[in-house]
Amino acid sequence: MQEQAVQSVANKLIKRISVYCVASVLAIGVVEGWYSWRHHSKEFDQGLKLIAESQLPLLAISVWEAEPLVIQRQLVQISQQPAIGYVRLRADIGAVFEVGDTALHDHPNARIFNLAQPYDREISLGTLELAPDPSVLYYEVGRSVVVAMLGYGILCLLIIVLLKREVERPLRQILEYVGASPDRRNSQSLVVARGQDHRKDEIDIVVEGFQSMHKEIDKQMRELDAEVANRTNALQSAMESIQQLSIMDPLTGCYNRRLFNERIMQEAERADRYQRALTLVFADIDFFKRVNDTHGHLVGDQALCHVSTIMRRETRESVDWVVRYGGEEFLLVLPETDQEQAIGTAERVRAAIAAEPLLVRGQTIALSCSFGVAQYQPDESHVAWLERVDKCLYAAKQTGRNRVCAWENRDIQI
Amino acid sequence: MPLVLAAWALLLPACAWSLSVAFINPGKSDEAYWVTVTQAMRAAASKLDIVLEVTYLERDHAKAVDVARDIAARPIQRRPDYVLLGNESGFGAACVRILDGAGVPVLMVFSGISDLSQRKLSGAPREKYKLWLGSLEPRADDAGYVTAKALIEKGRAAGWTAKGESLRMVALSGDKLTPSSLLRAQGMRRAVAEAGDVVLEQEIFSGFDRARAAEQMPWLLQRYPKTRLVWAGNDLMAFGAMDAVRSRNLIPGQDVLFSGINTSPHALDALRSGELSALAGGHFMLGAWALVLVYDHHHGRDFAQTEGLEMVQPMFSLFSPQQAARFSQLYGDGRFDAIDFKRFSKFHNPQLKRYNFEFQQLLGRKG
Repeated sequence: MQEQAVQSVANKLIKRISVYCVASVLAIGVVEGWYSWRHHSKEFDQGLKLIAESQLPLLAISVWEAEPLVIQRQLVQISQQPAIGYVRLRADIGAVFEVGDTALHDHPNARIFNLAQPYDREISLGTLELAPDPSVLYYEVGRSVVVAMLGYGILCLLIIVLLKREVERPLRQILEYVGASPDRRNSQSLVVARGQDHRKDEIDIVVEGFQSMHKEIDKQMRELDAEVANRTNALQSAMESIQQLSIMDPLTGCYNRRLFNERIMQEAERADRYQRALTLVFADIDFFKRVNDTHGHLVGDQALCHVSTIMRRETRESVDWVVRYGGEEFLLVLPETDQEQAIGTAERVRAAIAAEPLLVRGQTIALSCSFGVAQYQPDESHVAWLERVDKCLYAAKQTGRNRVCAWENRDIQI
Repeated sequence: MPLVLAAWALLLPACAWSLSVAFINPGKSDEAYWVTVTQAMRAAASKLDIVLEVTYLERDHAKAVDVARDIAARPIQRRPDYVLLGNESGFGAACVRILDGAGVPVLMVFSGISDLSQRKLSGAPREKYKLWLGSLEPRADDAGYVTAKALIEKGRAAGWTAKGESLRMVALSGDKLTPSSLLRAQGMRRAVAEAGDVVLEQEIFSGFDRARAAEQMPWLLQRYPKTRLVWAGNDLMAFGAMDAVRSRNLIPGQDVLFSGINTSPHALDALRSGELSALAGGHFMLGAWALVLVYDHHHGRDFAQTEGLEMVQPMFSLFSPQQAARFSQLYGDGRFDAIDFKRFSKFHNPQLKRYNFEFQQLLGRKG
């Protein structure tokens, strides 16, 4: 899958809102500033007018009565009004009184009022010039702008915080879950932390969808795992039975010739390596053809089964092994057994077969076997070894059957 | 016998035999006019055998109440027999109330209670406050009237009305509250109205202060360049206005004529030198005349029967340069010992029906 840069919806929203908010705040600041400027300018103007109107009659009297000290005092009083930055009075007699910041005397918002003679308003006693204190105006405007911007800024911040909390964080958790390794994703369900008093919303529905999907997948995975285990077991047993079949003689349950050929080499090697004795007994049912001919093939098969059962019974179960070599021939492989011991075993087997006739439909059929015994000789090929034991069997057959013939008899020649 | 006399002499100050009077002087202790008032009173007191105690308020008129309280708080034998005080800035009634409560009779001097709202509280003399004996005031509008009239005549004599032009006059009054100031200005306006050929350009208020008048006068000169006459409510304001006129290279007494009120040495000199064209005075004697009144009252001659309770007496006289010279000669440096105050007392002169407090009589002949 190709990695693609993913943009978070919430972040996008937050970014956009931030940009719009900053723009709005600036715009509001500008509008508020402009409005406040106009408003306060007007207010200032009215304030100047009001001050002038209230102070002019007194000032006019002071000018009329030639009271420079009183005039100065009144001007100082006027200049102490917060809105007033500069006051200048030009009296009819040429005297000029100034109070305040003289740099303000050319202020565009300065106003000039006429001082009328108290008893004859037609006569002018001079002029009063009032200039506003711009720092007060700036302060007022700045204050309203800052307050407005602060208010809207806080609002925007709140929106961003809410978006972050309500949208960005849960979405990020979902995203992390989706982007996590499949192992982790399979092992744990999606959990998104929301606020305590939170009411269910779309995100919760998505999360629930994920959770139920996870549950479903988990269930199916478990079923699948169980199915696989079943099938594997079945296959195993099938394989085992196939294995069994490939090395067993189906009629008698003994190992077959193929297995013997395969395994006898290993046995010989082991005997070589550990200097252990290994002896082979070759058995053949006497007059088996006669049994077949007399009683039929089915009884012949029964005879084979009967003989093999006795052979397996009379040998060591997990060490010795019995092979049906072909027709009515059997091989007993006796590891850890020298020739003398093997002769004993063969003798025991022979005696048991001779003593236990086959019972078929209430009729006893006497059976007997001839045995050849030969111990493995170091570094001997198994073909030579088999030839030797076969010679012994042949000797047993020749010497009257139902007997055991071992190799050590060097007189027996092929 | 000498022993008895010596015992007498020892006892004398402690006895209540000699009359004691306290005067609450509203002026400053270094103010020429009010010092002269005190000097005249001391002369009268010594002639009438009165123990006089003077306290200056230094123009802090509200202090009058404190002084009255102090007097009322004294032990009885140390309280004065009479207290003389004015009603400057309207504190008179409060003082009267305190002193009446303490049993000390009061005669108001220089200014009485004429304001209606004050009058409501104080009542008339000897009504609500039995010990408020009455008041003695100079006829202040006389001073304004006579000085203005003389000033106008001087202007006419200078020939400034020859071409049918009117005389341009400005007035420097004291203030807008003090009755004597208002009355003087009132007299001045009466004279202007009678004259017909005088235009009163403007009346301003210089607080009886020389420096303030000097500061304000240039405004009037700027506003009214044709000003010929300057009327002033006292001598100091006239001198202040003169300073301003001189700084414009005009000569007081020639280019611009001045009038003033008060018989200060400086004013008398200025009248003689011609810088002042008209001067009226004499009311500084009021304190001394008041001592004569309480002296007679103390000796059973109450002014109420003949003069009424609230007396407004003519006291101002217009001074000619010659009279100014004579005044300086007779009473220069505040020497008023030459005046025989007993001569004005009804107690000593039972044939005297009415008091005559006009100053003119003191210039006529010696003593």
